[in-house]
Amino acid sequence: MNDHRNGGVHADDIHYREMLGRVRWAVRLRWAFVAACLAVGLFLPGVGMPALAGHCFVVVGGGLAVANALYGWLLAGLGRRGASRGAALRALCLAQVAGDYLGLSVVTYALGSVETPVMFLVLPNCILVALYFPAPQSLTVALAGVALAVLPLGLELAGVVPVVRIFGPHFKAMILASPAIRDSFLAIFVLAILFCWYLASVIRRSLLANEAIIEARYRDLLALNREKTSAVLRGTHELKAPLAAIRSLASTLRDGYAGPVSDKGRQVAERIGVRCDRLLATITDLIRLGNLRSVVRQADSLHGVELGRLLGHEVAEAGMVAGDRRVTVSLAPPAGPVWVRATEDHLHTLFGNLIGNGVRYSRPGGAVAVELVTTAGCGRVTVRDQGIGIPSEAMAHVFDEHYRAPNAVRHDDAGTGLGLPIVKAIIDLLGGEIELQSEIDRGTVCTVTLPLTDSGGESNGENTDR
Amino acid sequence: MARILIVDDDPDMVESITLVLTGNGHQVAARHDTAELAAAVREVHPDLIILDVVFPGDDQAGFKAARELAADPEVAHIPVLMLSAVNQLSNLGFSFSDKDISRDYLPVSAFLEKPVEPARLLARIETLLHGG
Repeated sequence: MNDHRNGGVHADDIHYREMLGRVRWAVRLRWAFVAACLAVGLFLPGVGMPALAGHCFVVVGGGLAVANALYGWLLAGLGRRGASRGAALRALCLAQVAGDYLGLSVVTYALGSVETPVMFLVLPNCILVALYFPAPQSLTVALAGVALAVLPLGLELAGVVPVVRIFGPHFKAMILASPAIRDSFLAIFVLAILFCWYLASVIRRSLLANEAIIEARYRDLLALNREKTSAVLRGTHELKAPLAAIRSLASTLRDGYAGPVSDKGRQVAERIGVRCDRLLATITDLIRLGNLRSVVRQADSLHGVELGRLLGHEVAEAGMVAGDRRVTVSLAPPAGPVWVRATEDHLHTLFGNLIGNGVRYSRPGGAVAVELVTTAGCGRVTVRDQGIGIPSEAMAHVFDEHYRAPNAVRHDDAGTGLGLPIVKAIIDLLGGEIELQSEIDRGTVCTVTLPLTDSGGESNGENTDR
Repeated sequence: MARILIVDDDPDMVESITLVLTGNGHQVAARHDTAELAAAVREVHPDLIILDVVFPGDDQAGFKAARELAADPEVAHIPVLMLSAVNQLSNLGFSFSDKDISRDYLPVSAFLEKPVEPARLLARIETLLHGG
């Protein structure tokens, strides 16, 4: 069933992918922090800092490295799944933030929270939290971060843990000078965190609002494009129906069903039929091109197709036409099955066009050789002919609609000039590449590269929209 | 020789098919819309129905008619040859090819795309009339 439905991308998927991107970025950033921690941890004792500080940095750096590797592994798993794993992704975000806060608390302690304003290191994390989570939730998490950042100082001042003095016993820590200074410092710290959280939250809201606007515009464009494509296709189909009637009447006349017809009359009817066929071919190509460029047909309908078997059919089919022209068509098959993500119809059109061109533009006695090999994650099909070739000045235009090289028109005037644009549209849709090399009067080599897929698999959409 | 009902809104197409079929000894009846088609089929008693898809005002009229005929036990046994300019590429919200024929989606016996050569049409009709 070729029921045409939308194969659009869901908003949840877009947000999920975006969130994944942010978390991946945070993981990359954390590797820089890990490297800094380890470097400082190994460097600090060398410049006379307490060994404890160095150990703490090494422990925190090592711990974060292990945790970050775990986050990366979990993210890779989540990246392969859809928006249904949104809750797991949010849990992973929270785990990362909590881990970072704990690491920062230890670092804050190790760097002497009474002597340095190192607790401000929590600031980037609060901004990160405000970007990850919606405002009420992010405020809670940011305040928890503030509490953890202040915890070492509180524990030191309460005498629960020893006070770390990294600048030696003669250094007078400002925060210890008076309770007023201490409280002012803490108030400034909390206010600075809250201010940064507020700014980041506003930026997040603004970004999300802009995203919503862009998404709405994108949906409008999709709808408009669907409407336009539908109108164009309908118009094209309206042309096809009366032409089909004319073609049928011409055949009826030619075959004598409308009464006796002279030889000349039969020839005229035959010519009407041939002209109709050419026009029908153009209309069919226009419909095909319109469909390929329509945004309604997306990757949903693609599934694993075995390329070697399909090429075997195409070569056999082309061989029948080629025989009439005294051209041979051969296939050098691959060693094993070659699966690409496509539809059979796409590949039939793609290689039917390329092999058909090879035959059409060959001279009697010529040969068209088709070869399929696998290389670096791709299936590579080469169609090599010994035909009329493409002039160098025409190479830049061969994928333009309705363009036909002058020597191609002289050789065969029946082409629509839409074959290679269709080929290009299909290759773009399938994420492949095409390369043409040609020498006038010596032939053309066309190389198509398509990404391999794991296996035949089943069609992944509930409908198989072409 | 068989009695064949052509259901097509295009008078030229009906004329063309009628000439080919009568020229080969078949009896032909024609209708230009799908309204009350099952009743018309009961009246004509055709051995085969040639059915178009797109009719004025309803792009899916032929499609719906095929389903209605298939659901009517009195006429469901009559082979239906769907003959339409709609093919896999038409993108009119649906498309047909022989591969799409099924009891649930396209309950017809065969699909041919317009235009069709008289010889091919006759061959397919002969096959269908002989239970193919």
